[in-house]
Amino acid sequence: MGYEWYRDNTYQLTDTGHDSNDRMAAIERALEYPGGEGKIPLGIFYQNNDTPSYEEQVPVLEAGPLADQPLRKYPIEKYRELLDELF
Amino acid sequence: MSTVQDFSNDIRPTWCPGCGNYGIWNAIKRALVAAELEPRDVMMVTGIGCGSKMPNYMHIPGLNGLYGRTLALATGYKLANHGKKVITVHGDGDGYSMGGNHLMHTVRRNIGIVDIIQDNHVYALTRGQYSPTSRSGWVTRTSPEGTIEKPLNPLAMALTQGATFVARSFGCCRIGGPDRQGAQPSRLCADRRDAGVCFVQ
Ligand SMILES: Cc1ncc(C[n+]2csc(CCOP(=O)(O)OP(=O)(O)O)c2C)c(N)n1
Ligand code: SF4
Ligand SMILES: [Mg+2]
Repeated sequence: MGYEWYRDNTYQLTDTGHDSNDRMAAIERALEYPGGEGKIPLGIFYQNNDTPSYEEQVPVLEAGPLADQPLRKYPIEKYRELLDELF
Repeated sequence: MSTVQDFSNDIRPTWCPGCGNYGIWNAIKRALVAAELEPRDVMMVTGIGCGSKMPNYMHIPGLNGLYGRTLALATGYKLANHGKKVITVHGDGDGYSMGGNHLMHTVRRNIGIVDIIQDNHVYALTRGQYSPTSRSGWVTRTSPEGTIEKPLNPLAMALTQGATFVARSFGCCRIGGPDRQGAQPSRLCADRRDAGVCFVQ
């Protein structure tokens, strides 16, 4: 199926008044393809900017990216203790 | 301010003439410029597949990883260096079959990755086996009588598993012109600097 097919068989969600903050409406639109009979919806189905990201919730990352943090946070003995516990 | 040129190199893609990957490639570059990012602010992680060759054709820090493990690598990268804009680019085979588990957990965790799936409904690089999104009844070398399976619905999957941004675009600016099609990926990167996962089919 080439470009012409997609041109004729897609539509923009923005042309239909779809509310991209409405998750249930987004799920209904998502079920239109594959599965439905009509055209394929294009555009933003859903957006929610209020949910915190994973990395925002990792305590150790509060001090900045790990890559910029000192390689050894504790004296080397501390790591040896951990190793001894394991082996 | 960066320009599209800043993200370009002089290596010619091996993609077929007319391939949808050209449109995706251009849309990503435009989106990065619209988001006022420089190449050093970005990390592109890809898998294995036609479009996964993309970091080779851009002036951008990139990693061409293992088939199916694109999001696992990107998650590790994001947690090690969360100041960077992490973009994953991979195919439907990579993203939904071998890497389907990673997709589910990436959206559930809401990790700040812009995940772009080049969903051509086929395993293209390996020459045309059916994929999780192939239409039922499609005849390929691995389905000579037509596929029996029903296609996966990745957008519905992402939405029900808690994805906080879900979109579908068509990878060619010839349809509708760059204003309509190209605007979507641009808005994507610009509006959602780092507020969680963006899933784009
Ligand atoms: C672990 C592993 N299994 C299988 C392969 C072979 N392989 C390479 S690309 C590919 C399919 C690619 O399809 P898709 O992800 O849809 O990308 P496309 O080429 O269509 O862009 C497969 C099965 C591989 N490289 N590694
Ligand atoms: S085979 Fe690969 S490069 Fe050629 S059109 Fe398909 S996805 Fe593009
Ligand atoms: Mg594919």
